[in-house]
Amino acid sequence: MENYDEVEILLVEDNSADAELALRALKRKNLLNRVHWVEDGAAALDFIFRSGQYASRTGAQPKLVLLDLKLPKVDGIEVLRRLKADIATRTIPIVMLTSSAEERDIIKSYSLGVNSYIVKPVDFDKFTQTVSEVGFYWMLLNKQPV
Amino acid sequence: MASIHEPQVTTATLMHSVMSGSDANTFVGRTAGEHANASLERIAVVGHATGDRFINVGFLCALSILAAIAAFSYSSIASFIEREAAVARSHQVVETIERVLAQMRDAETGYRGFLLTSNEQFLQPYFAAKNSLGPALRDLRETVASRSAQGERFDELRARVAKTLALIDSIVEAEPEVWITDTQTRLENAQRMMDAVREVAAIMLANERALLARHAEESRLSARKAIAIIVLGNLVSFGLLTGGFIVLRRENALRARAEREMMAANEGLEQGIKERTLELAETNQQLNLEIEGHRRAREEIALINAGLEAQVSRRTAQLEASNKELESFSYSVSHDLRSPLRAVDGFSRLLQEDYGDKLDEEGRRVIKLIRDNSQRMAQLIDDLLAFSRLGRAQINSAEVNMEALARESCDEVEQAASTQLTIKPMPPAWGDRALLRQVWVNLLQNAYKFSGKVAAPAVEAGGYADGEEHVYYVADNGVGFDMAYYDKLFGVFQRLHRAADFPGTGVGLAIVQRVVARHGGRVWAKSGIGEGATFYFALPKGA
Repeated sequence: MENYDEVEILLVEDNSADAELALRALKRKNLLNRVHWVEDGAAALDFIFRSGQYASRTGAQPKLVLLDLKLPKVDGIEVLRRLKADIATRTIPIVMLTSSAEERDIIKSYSLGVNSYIVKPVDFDKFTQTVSEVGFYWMLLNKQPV
Repeated sequence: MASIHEPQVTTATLMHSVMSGSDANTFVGRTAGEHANASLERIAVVGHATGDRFINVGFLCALSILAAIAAFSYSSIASFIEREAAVARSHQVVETIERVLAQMRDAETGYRGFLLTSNEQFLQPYFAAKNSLGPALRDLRETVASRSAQGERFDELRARVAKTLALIDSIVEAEPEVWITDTQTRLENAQRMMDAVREVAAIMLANERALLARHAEESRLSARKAIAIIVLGNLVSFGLLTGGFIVLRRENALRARAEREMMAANEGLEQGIKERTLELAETNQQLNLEIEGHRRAREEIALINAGLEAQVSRRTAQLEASNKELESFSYSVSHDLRSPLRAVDGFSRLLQEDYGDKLDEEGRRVIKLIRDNSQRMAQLIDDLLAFSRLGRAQINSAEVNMEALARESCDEVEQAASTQLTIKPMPPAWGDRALLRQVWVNLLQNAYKFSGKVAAPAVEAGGYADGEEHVYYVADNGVGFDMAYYDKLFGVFQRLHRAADFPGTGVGLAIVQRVVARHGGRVWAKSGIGEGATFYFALPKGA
């Protein structure tokens, strides 16, 4: 049984390569041990709403959700909609971390109340820099309601 | 009489013809036949009027002539009768004078017998003569009274007769003893008196006979004159009648001809109307046919249109479907192609970082090649997506200050410090500012890129009005290109230079062309190897 109490970042990413690269980037900022990675939208919702395999989770809500758009089962937009629709989860910062630079995705995400929208750079150095900066910003610089 | 009535009938018919002619005229309206008909009508009316006048004047003339002839005849006959009366009167005067003379002779014979015989029986004829002399003289007086010369002579005669009778009476009534002494004288006196009476009577007779002769001559002349006048009058009447007859006949003939012509004209008119009516009917039929044709054509067009509309909506649906497909395709490309690339790049970077010291020089070079190519592919994908988005992007047109936009675009372009940039005044454009900015950026980027390797690079941007277009250009003094490959210039991923010489994906000019085409404009370029290049784009003026 994993301990979820320490989880501060929830990474929702179906692509294991992208996930590994993201985790590596976060590792550089020493944020790795507080990250929990799920591979689809349904698992993300279970984690947040403490259902399914995460029904027994007792820890606090994560301080940041890194959410991909294209996900199996439940896609990123739906996860975003559900989290922002619930008053208990509305304050959790959600950052879209996606390959899509499509205008409609950006508009849709912001209309649902996303906190930030970041297009993953193909260049690994840029990617690492971006992810680590996002983690640093939201985890250390940003103030949010307790 | 028949010849007098005929013209009236003809006139009536003529009037009818004229009326029906004008009726027909009104019916036909303004046609070609109208002119001919009108002139005919005019002729008929004019002929009618002059004929009437002529007849009236002729009739008046004839009437006056006949009246004059009658007057002349009357006066000459009256004159003749007068002359005859004068002749008769003269005869009566002569007869009466002779009667007076006879009675005077009877009286003379009687008293002479008495004187010779003293027998009173002889006095009977004397007294009878004396008694009848009174009425005879009265008769004579009545017949001659009006004529002065004879009247005077009559007075003389009557006086002498009275004197003679008085003398005879005095002789006859004298005493017988007186007779012897005076009788001789008295007888002589009586004889003289009687002679005087005879003398006057003879003169009167002579005069009267002369008068009679003159009167008879006058009467004869008068009679001849009257006869001449009557004959002449009859001749003139005959002539007038004949002339009138001829005139009426001629008039009649003219009218008959006019009538015939009118009828012929009417027939012609009717024929014309019939023909025109037929023509109209034919034309109407043709028109109806044409209308029918038009109607059918319209129906066909409507059918075709309906078919076209159906086809258009079908095509539109197909296009929408293919657009959707394209959209989801490019969405997939943007989303799914980049992830593996990122993995390739990321893990080769990790390999470099984590195992770099375990690889030899060649190994590290290969890793670098892997990373370069994955990044280049990412760039290609980005450019392709940008190009694809342009086809779908909505154009929000407004007036754009092109000079300011060109200047602004320059700031976005990486430029060599040595490049001499000139931006000339240019007319404003009507279009989407963001898209036009992309055009400027791409063209300026190209200009900088291809002029970067010459000694004194220079780039110039400008524009001018040309007819219905505004033309803009970007010129450089760079390497230029071979016009032989002009066809490839604006194609996607088409490059005229090696990537090693000038980096790029070959999408820039394709984007320029697509943006300009979507604004209804056109692009073209002029160059030669080593002569620099000038890229033009023209946009329609105004909205």
